[in-house]
Amino acid sequence: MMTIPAVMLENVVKRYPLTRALDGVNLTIERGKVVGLLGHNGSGKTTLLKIIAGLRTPTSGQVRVLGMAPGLETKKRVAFLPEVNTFYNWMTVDDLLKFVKSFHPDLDLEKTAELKAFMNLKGESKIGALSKGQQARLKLIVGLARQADLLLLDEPLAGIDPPSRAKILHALVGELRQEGQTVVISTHEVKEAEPIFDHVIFLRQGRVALEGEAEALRAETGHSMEELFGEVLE
Amino acid sequence: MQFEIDERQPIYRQIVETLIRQIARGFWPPGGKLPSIREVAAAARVNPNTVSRAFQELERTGLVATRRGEGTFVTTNTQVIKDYREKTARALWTDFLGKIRELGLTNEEIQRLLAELREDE
Repeated sequence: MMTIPAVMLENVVKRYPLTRALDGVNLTIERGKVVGLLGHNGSGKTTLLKIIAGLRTPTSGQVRVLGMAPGLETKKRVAFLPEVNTFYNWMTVDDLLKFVKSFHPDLDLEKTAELKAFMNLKGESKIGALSKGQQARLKLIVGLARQADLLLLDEPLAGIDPPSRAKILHALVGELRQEGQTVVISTHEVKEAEPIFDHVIFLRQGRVALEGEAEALRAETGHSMEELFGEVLE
Repeated sequence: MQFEIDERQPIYRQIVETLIRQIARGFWPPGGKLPSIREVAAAARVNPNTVSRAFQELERTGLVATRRGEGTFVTTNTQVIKDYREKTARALWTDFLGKIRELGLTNEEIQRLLAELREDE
């Protein structure tokens, strides 16, 4: 039986008035994989994630998410965590979780309790008083507690202290991940993240410079993903 | 349980090799239970999908078998383990002898060196 891929892109172009953010991207992301979307700032990672999330429309090309055109139905099944913080500073952590629950009914409140403990966050803390790293953790709680089939994380490690990164990354693909969930993580911190990727996509100037199964790329090239990042993207 | 991972080589192969070595040495004894996929993934800090692939590969060697709902167990057939250990040792020797012969040493010289080294131990 053929399963429907989580994401399919065909010749996707996204133009902004002065730039071409995506310049003909072809991609297939299989269900249940952990995918690294790797590239420097400005390579098109965020635009690509927003198009998959249904928050941007491509200028041209085809997009299929869980077998459908991005829209209301896919938005229910896709969780997108932007890099930029969009929370209200006057809310407490628990206020925010209730607020999110009001428009994402799939948010699992039992799971948020478990995640707060794991991430060392208190429900009564004011968001404005949280450090950058704590806000990054809060964002992860919101994303991980949704019963989404597809989880899109834009630079989730930004602001988190290096010793915690490996632990959080590992939990992300291990005990915190739902069975069969597809996870796409954009990052330029390749060294820490690479052991968790099934598949990697190197993006350069809006195009896919190289992609493949991480293990196959290691066998073929004898290089780590971090080394390939340097070679392919410099 | 410790895993040294070199990110320049396929990770699943390194996990297979580590587990085989540990089984050959008796660290995981015949009939004993291996750690779960999740436990190995946590110890090696890698994706559970990668460990799952390593376990499939390991099963193909006949050194372990997975019992549904119970876990993965080392074979009780110690002959299979012995054969594997010998096979691995033979591969190491062949590789080593090839390199030594490239130096132009005769069989007698190799024997003499080996004897000397053993005395040093």
